[in-house]
Amino acid sequence: MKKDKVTTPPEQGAKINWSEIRQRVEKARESLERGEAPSPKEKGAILKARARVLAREAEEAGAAREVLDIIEFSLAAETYGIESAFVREVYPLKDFTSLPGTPHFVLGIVNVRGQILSVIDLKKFFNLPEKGLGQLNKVIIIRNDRMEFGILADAVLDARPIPLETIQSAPPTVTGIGAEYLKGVTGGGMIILDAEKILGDEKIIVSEELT
Amino acid sequence: MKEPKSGVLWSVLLGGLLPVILAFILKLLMPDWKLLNEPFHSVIEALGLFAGLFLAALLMFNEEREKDTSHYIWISSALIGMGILDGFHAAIRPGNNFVWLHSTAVLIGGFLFSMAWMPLRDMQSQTVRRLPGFVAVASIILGVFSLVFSEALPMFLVEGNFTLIASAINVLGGGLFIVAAIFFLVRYRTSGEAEENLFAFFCFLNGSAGLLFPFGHTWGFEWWLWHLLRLIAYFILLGYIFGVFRNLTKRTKKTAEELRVAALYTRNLIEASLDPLVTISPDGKITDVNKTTEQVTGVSRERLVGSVFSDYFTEPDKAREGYQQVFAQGVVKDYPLTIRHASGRTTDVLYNASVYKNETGDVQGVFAAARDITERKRLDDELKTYREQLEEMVKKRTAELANVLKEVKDTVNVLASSSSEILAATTQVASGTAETATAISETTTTVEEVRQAAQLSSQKANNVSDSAQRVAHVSQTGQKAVEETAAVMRHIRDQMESIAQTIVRLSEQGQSIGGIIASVTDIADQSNLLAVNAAIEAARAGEQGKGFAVVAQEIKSLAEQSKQATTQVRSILNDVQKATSAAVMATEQGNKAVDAGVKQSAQAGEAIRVLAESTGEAVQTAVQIVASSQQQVVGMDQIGTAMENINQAGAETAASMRQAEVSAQNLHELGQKLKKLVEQYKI
Repeated sequence: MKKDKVTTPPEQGAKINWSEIRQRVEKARESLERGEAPSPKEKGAILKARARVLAREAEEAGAAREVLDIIEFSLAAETYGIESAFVREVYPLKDFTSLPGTPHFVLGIVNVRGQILSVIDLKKFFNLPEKGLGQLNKVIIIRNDRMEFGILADAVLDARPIPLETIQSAPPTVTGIGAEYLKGVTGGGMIILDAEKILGDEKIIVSEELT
Repeated sequence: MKEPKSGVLWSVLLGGLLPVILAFILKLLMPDWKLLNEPFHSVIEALGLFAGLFLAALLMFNEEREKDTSHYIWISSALIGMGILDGFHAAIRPGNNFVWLHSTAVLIGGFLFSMAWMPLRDMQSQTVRRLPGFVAVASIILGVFSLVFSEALPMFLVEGNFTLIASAINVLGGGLFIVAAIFFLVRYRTSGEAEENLFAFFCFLNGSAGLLFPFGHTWGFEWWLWHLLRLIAYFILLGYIFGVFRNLTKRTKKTAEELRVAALYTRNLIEASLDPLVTISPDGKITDVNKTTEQVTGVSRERLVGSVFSDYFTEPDKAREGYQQVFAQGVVKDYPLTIRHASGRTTDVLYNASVYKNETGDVQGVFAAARDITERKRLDDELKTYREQLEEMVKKRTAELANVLKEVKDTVNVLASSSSEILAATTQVASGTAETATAISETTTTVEEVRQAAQLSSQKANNVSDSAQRVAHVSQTGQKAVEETAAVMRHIRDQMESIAQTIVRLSEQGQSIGGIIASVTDIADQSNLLAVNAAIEAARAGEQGKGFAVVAQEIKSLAEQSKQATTQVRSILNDVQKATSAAVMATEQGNKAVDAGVKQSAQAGEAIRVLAESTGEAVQTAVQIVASSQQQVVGMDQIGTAMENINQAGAETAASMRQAEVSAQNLHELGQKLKKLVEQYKI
């Protein structure tokens, strides 16, 4: 019995194909080295795929009669869109300072390249229920001729044009947001915010009155 | 006595052949010699007559001899007949009847001699007894007839020569003599008696004379020769028979002397008797006395013999009555009488008397023996006194004897019970011996089995030893293998440790990859934002910004792809980290397993070492077992021999015990007999 126990492991060891393992490791190492500089064939394939994608989008854009450029962003598990005409830039949220005596939807102030801007949390502004924790590490700076401030976003997803006819007026029960702030809802469930209305809202200005 | 065979030869030669040869020789020498002398012839014939008659008489008186002599009747008759006729022949002048008488004598003699072949069974019969007499009378009648009626006789002699009939009768007679001679020769050969040979010789002579008759003539030499020969034969026979008779007479004398001595002995015996002995005739006269009788009566022997027996007793009537009683009854015992001595003194006697008889069984008289009892009477008185004393003594002794007997009885009882016990013990011992013999034979068998078992165990032990040595070899090999295994195990452990370290390093490198990925993600994020801003700017620029918008879109896409790639890398890195942890754990387990293996192999090594030691001990033990088994076998053989001796001794013991048992049985029976005997004696 003991003898069997002693002799069995080498037999099992013999079943391991070490040469194959060595080949596999070598292959992985080679592919890793090559990965830093893809082979010409791979490069060609990537480029071809990309060209195909671009060609299709151009076709689509050509087909659209009237479009609306929007910035698509996510906030509290919902996807929102805002008209890019009102967007100055997107900026990572860092070094913000909370400001006492401000309404609760005002998160604080940030320094963007020397300019002090206030940051508003839309969820709180719209009195939406808190659904989990978001990243809230992006700031979308919107402006018009009167107002300029940042709104918090979990992630900035895309900047693209969407056909107008896909935007439908949404029933107020769907979003929970007052209909005066909405432009509509797309078939994909994206809520299009009315940046002008938000910029022109008195509530935000009120806070200026306090100042 | 001569040897029978040579005797036969002698008689044949002398009696038969010699006369014939002699006759022929003389006839050749002196053919015409003649001696005409009648008186001489008559003398010879007369002598033959007397010799023959005398011989016949002797033979007839001798007929009571012990041996078979029935044929003597024939011989006697022949001699008588032949003698008488020869006598007549001698008495007359030569002539026809002269030859006739001689011829008839030869014929009758030959015939009667040859009749000896016929045995006469009944010697006592009157006819046989009278045969010689009858022959004598017949011969005399024939002789007288021949003398008186000589003219009527046939012609036997013609002109000095014998007729044919004369020759025939003589030859016939001679032949019959030869036949008789053969009879005597046969008897002589069986008995060896000389007289038989003499008879044979006689017959041969007469036979040859008869056969020679035709060849001779009257008064010739051969004629005289056979006359002379016959006479010689007569006298030889006569002389022999006479000698026999003389011996008989001597023997008779000797017997008479012996008889006289015997009678004297008897007389002396009678005289020597101390008791008065007397013989009495039937008429009561004393016929004989001994000396003691003379002394008791005081009368001399001469006076006593012939006197009356009863006169010498005090009671004559009673004495007479006594001997008469003896004659009547044949015997009388202890008849009391009193003898009176001449001087008047009396003697008390007891008479024992019996009759005595002669050869024919007639009573001759009484033989009486008296016993003097005077002394006895005196002794009786003394005896009486003695007896009284003796009775007293016997009483005393009886009392003592009773005591002794009691003791003897006790002793005998003890002896009987002891002998019973001995018998029982002996029987037990005998049966025990038999059992012992059985046990010994069983033990012998068992010893043989044990011996075989010992041999078997020796072989087994040898096998064990071999096996153990093989095991020792194997265990050495095993120990070596285990040591090698342990070394390999240690090597494996080292390898495992290096593997673990490698994996740990790999894991740490994975962490640094993670850091790189975080920074790449951050960069991708920022690139995305930059792309969005660029898009915004492009949109603001309007138609001029369209190309820029495409670039911005492209950057954004790249940033997105970078982010996705980092996510993938992170995910892969996670997998790698998990795999690494698993590898570390597996290595740890492997390490533990190797440790256990090392420990196990150490234990196995120890176990094998112990096994090797045990095997060594087993080898030692097996060798010892082999040695002791061989000793055992030798011992068993010795035990077998010893058992054989014991068996023999047991058999001898059993035999002894059987003898002892028989002895004990005898002893026991003896004890019982003794007991019974002692019990019979009750005083």
